[in-house]
This record gives sequence, structure tokens and C-alpha cells, in this order.
Amino acid sequence: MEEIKTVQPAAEARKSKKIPLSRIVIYVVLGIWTLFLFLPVYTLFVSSITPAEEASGATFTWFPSRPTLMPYVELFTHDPYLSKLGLPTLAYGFINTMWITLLPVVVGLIVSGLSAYAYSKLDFPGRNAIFKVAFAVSMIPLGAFSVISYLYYDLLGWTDSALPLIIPGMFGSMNMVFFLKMYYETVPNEILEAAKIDGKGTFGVFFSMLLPLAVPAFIAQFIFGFVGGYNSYMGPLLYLPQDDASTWTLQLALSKMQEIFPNDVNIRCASMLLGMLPLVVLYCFCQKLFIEGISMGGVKG
Amino acid sequence: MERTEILSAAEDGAVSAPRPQQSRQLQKKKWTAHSLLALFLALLPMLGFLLFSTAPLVISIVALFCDVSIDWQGISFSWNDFNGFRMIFDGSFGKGTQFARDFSSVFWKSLGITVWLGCTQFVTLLIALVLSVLLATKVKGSKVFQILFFIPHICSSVSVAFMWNWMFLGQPQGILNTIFGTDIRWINNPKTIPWTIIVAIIWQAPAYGTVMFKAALANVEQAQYEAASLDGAGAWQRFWYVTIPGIMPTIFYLLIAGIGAGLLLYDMAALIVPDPWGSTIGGEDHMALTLMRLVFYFNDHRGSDPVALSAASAISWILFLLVAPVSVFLYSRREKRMEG
Repeated sequence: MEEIKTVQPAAEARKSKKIPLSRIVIYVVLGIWTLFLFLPVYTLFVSSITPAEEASGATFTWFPSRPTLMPYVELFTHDPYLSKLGLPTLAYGFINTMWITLLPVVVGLIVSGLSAYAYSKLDFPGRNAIFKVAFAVSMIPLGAFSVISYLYYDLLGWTDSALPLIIPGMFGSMNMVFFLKMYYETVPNEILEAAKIDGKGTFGVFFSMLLPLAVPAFIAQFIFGFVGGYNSYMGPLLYLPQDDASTWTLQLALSKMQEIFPNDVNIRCASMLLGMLPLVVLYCFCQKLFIEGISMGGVKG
Repeated sequence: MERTEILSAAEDGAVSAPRPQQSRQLQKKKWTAHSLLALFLALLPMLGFLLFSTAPLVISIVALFCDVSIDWQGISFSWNDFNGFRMIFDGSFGKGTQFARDFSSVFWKSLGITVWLGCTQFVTLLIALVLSVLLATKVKGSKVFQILFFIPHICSSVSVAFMWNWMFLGQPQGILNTIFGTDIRWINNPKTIPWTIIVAIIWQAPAYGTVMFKAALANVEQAQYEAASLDGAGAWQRFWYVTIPGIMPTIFYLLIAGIGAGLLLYDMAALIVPDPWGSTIGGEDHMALTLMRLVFYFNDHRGSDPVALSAASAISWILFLLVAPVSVFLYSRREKRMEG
């Protein structure tokens, strides 16, 4: 078989002979990883289109002889909550997820954007010192307290509602501020000065000049926030009322599929695939934005 | 009305400053309506932090040392004689509570499992590094592989956990049992339980690292490779002496941040290995009981005995101390970046 060297372009043939990283080895490794990633997804898919009577064999059915899309239909039509809510649990969950995620992410981004604007382009006494303190304080890792915070929200009377999932995020975060501030610093002050001379006020300069110029940074942060919010499970599990399906987010609804469809594993498999679909489709369309957003954070973070 | 002062490059430069340095200094100290507005905008995220991050912290300190009860009459505290700590460190104490169980052994086991699962990050990073180096060779189709490899990152832990639960189904028609021709009850066997979670983490976590490493690899200077080649370094030597030092900051960052997040693992463990019926928590033999799950358990049972909340607070603080060094590191790294 043909051995092709695939080392860095700078490599000299003489050197690369020592370690012949052949193309075949690379493809085998990449292929094995692809198989590992997508074999489980395939089994979900196969199970979701296999009729129940065919799935009861002695071993796993890799290729159903009579594939059916009924589980995808029954997921919505056989939903026991359908009559109570007027919508299937998943559809309700998707709508809940949208507003519970978008509200804090969008508002939080604008607040963080304004805060970063104040720290990098506006002047007030003690600006740099305050930024340092704010940043140091925000680095305290409070993730360990995410469950025990329940006590505090209980005191506020916010438990059994989506408020603890929405309100805190609307204040933005110093992490976002840090990231956006880094980005703003690449925007020359003269441009903002010019907008100011054009008669724009503090907010006018931000919304008409800085925000449009920093759109890539905002998109990167939005994707982070949106993917995190869409997929979050522990927060909704803690705070949303477990007995009221109309408040569940999509992920919470998905985690309850075992209770909703206890006897139909193919419907449960279908629900998981459908739950993944929106983000995967979004990713396929703006794949570049996702990757760039992540690597931008990586090089900077 | 005077507009908020926008710092211009000219002002920072000494030569073309429109005002003498001294008067600028004086003006800087002055509070105007606009500098107040700027301060307000700047402090908004801090306000959120104070209201929703530090306030729960204060309450959790109170809950460490007091029995807290919240009802329609309001909140009440009473000194609890370190019962929260006794609950998790003193084996005989837990037996006298409503739980009637020795939680100290559960706690230590849970700590061990949490650290064990947190260490999966080493494997994750190694895989991410190998994949990103292979992708960086730009073989035909590497773009497609790169796109595919990122997909696990956008899948929710609920779906990933369900998927692996399905793979590990403990019946002959379970997928892994079909592939290996075995009949192992993966999710119920204490020996295999941690591995089901580790495999799911390994399925999902390298996606993020691969993209980060890919970006870091692209940032290593080509000139260094050329120089190393001229010095007679082979591919392996170039990798070891040029690539690795070049991406070391990224490796370090991912390792530390990943372990920090891994110690707080909840979703994946709770979803793949749910609490079985009865009083067992965290799967058979507590083999999937991370500390976060234990906190969750106590929080869920706060109604049965006030000591539950104190114990939950105590474990939260122990977790905090475990994770704190991570943040100190991340902080110093960011501070360097701000100055550099």
C-alpha cells in the first residue's frame, strides 16, 4: 500500500522517515472516533424506527425489516398531557426553553456589553481599580453552591417558578464583560469620538457604533449562552414544579419521557433525537460561527 | 447636558492632549452625572453577582451552623451544634437522625468517586490532543471530521445520558451486550457503574478540547517548526519540543477548568444511573454518587430533618474548597493577560 507522508509542510522527507505517520493510520484513528461518536446515535435512530414487536428479539435489531416513522407521530399524538396542556409536552417544553433561555441570554448580553463599554470606553473615577476588584470577586467559584442556593430562592419565594433561571442571568456576567472588553479594545477610540461629535449620546454611541462593530464577539457569547441554556438540566430540575408539565423546559420534559411513555422505548428514542435536532440543525447552518466562537474564547480565555 | 467623556487616543497621548495633564487629573476625580451613569452600567453585573451569588453564600454559611426553617411565617434559625458536619463526618450521628443511616462512609465514598470521575479529564484531553493533531495534518476530509467531532458538545446531557443508558441496557438485546455477546447488567453492577459514566463523558467532552487545541495549534509559529527542522529535529521531536510547549497554556487551562467542572458533576451521573427504588442513593453501592448528587439528595430531603440542609451546606463548602485552587489559577492567568 502506498505510504504518504502527512507531517507539517515544513517537514523534510529525510526526517519524517523516522516516524512515518501514514495517512492510513490517521484515517483509521479518525474513523474509529467517528464510529464511536455515531454508533450510539445510529442505535438511537434505529431503535426509534423499529416497531415494538420487532425490537423484542434476543439480540439488538441493527436493521429493522419494516421501519416505521410512527414513533415520531405517536410522540406527539399519544402524549398523555396532550389533552391537559393543549400541546404535546415536547412542544410546550420547546416554547418554555426558548423564553427561559433567550430572555436572560439576550438581556444579559446587552447588560454585559454596556458594562464592558463603561469599563473600556467611558471614564469614571477608580475605573481600573473597580474592574480589577469586580473581576477578582467574580472568579470565586460558586458552582459548588448552585444547589444550596435553593434555600435563598425559597426565602425569596421564587421556587416552583422559572424566576431563578431567568432573573440572575439578566444581570450579565463578569465573564462576558471580560470577553467583550477584550474585543472592544480592538475598536479605536477615534471612531467613537467621531460618533460623539455627530451628536450621539452615551447609549447612542454604544448602540450605533460599538455594538455593530463587536457583533462577532456578541454572537460568540450568545452561542455559548444559548447552547448552555437550551441544554441545562439541573436548574430546571431544581426550580420548576415537578408536577406541572406546562412549566417544564425541553430537557426536563425529555428527562421525564420514561414516565410519560413507560412502555414505548422507540418513542423515547425518537424524543431524544428530536430534542437534539434544533441545535444540530442550527450548528449545520452556522457551523463556522460555533467553531469560531469556541476557538475565539479559547485563544483569549 | 454634557456628554459622558469618551477616552480618546489623543487624550492618552501626552503630546496632543487638549488639556494640560493636571486639569485632566482633576477632572478624573470629579463625579458628574455621566460618570455616575458609567459607574452604574459598569457595576450592573456586580449587582447581579451580589444579589444572586453572594446572598445564597451568606445563607449557606448560616445553614452550616444553624437549623434553618422556612415556612409561611418566614425564616427562623437555631444553633445546631455543628450537626451538619457531624452528619457527614461522624458515623454514629446520622443513625440518630430521621435518615437513620451512617452518612460518613457514604460521604467518603462519594468524595472518592467524584475525584475519580473528575480525573476523566486527563483521558479526555489526551483524546482531544490526538484528534486535533491528526486534524491539523489536513488530510483530505479533515474539515468534515472536524465538523462531526464537535457535535457532541451541543448535545444535552439528558440526551447523551439516555443514549448511553440505551447502549448499556442490561439485557441480552442491549446494544453493548449484543456487540460483545455478554449479558452484563452495566447500570446495576457496582463494578461497571462508574465506567458507564466515564464512557459517556469521554463521548462528549473531547469535542470542546479538540476545537480549542485546533485553534492553539494554528497559533504555534511556523518559523519555530522550520527552525527545529533545520536543527535536525524529527517529527516526534518537533511535536515534543515545539508543539507541546506552544500549546501548553491551552493544555493547562483545559485541564484545570475541566477538573474544576468535573468535580461538580451532577447531570450525567444522575441521569445515567438514577437512584434505584428504596433507600440506596447514587446507584448500587453508591457507585455513581458524586458529591453534587449528595448535596441534591440532602436538599431534596430538607423537609424530613433540618440537619439535611446543614449537611448540604457543609458538602457545598467542601466542594468549594476543592474547586477554589482551580479558580485561583484561572484568575492569575487572566490577570497576566490583562496586564500583558
